[in-house]
Amino acid sequence: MVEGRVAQFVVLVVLCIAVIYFVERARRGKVPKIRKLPGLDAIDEAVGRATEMGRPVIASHGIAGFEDMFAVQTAAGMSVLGYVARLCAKYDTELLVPCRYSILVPVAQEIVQQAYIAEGKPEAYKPDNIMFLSDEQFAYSIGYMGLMTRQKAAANIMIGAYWAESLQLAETGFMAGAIQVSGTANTAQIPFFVVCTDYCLIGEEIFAAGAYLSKDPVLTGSLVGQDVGRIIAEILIVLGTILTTAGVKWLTEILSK
Amino acid sequence: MAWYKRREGPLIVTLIVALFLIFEWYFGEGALIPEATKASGQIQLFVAFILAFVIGVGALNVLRIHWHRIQRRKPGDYSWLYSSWIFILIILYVITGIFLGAYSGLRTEEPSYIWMYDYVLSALDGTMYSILAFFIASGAYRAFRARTAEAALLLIAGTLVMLGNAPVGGVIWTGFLDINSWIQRIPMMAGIRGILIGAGLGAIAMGIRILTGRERGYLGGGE
Repeated sequence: MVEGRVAQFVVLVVLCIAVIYFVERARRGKVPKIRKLPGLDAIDEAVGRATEMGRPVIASHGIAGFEDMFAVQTAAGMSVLGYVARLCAKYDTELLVPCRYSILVPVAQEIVQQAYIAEGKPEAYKPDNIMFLSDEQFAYSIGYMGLMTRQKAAANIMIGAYWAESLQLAETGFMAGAIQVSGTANTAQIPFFVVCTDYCLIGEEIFAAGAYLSKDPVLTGSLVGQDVGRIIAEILIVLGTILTTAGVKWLTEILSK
Repeated sequence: MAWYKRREGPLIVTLIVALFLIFEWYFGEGALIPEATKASGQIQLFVAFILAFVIGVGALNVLRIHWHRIQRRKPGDYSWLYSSWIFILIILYVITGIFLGAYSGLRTEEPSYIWMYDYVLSALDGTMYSILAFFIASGAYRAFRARTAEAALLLIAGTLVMLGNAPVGGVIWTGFLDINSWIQRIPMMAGIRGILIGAGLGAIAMGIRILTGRERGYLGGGE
């Protein structure tokens, strides 16, 4: 095994076992209760408001692609997009999806189209509403801002990986009068979203979105598996602090293997 | 073919590629199977090829959407002019990049291509980035209205950090520098690390759900 990755691998295996165990446990009927996530509950409210106002909903999945470490945030954004698309299809509300990378356009089109089919309204699906703006960060940002302003979006849902454009988008959404639900795991952008949007999902909450919105008990079980990882992390932090303060280094040596 | 059956293909591809890359990360680099590293490099090369190919898909998507907007223009709505402008720019940039570059043999070193990038795109990019300062000011105005105890705490912490970062803060009282440093190193770092650990665990759990085919939201269709 590659040096320096042994402890990492052990933690990964333990997490995998924990997640699979709790998924199977949920499948057998022991469904855990998870806390409410107001940000995700607010999506229904946001789409409902847009429907009442007769104005469009904008849903974006961040500006990361599918090929790097931020891909999992994009996947989380796509899961939320599927849910938003179903709500929009159900209430006949226009949905606009700006994409930064062209590779995500067919993915987003597929998700939205399937949502419209699932709601029994395939004819209402408009492929032109899923648009590639630009793979240049700020060209994408200005395109998105223009879209919100021109279309007078009533709801703006941004879940995924965002960088410097997060504040521009959130502020423009606020000025456009849109109800905004945001979420990212990029720590530097979380304060901007917290300040400028109505509801904000912080860090790991975006990864729980797919499981939470689907209300699938088996998926909900997997969220409990994460808590095992959290308990391990907390034990290691406390133990590591005590041992390092006492000058004992065996734990840090094991973890660095 | 039913839509739920069509999702099996992408799921299998995702599983095979992801397991291979995970295996290479832990057992590659000459540790167990050196060939794994080579094969992993090849897979990542495929990704680069696919990404290059889909640039064309993106350009076609843009052209199609804006062509429809030009076709469906309504009296009094001049937004179709922007669509026409996009058309003109895409065609101009393609001509400059591909045809002039090929004709001169300079490819992407062609001067007019570089000029357009440096003096149009980069300038616009820089302008967009710089207007963040104004957005920060308007965002800070809303954030710093002390309506609740949390907002008041944010106001106090924000003011202290600003005074610690601005040159005038150190002139007024050198203690602002220490307070700023303490806020950023201790409470802020604790918060960031907490979020990072949580996000890391969440990402791993979601990765497991994707690999085992439980999380299918990103493929469309919901449950």
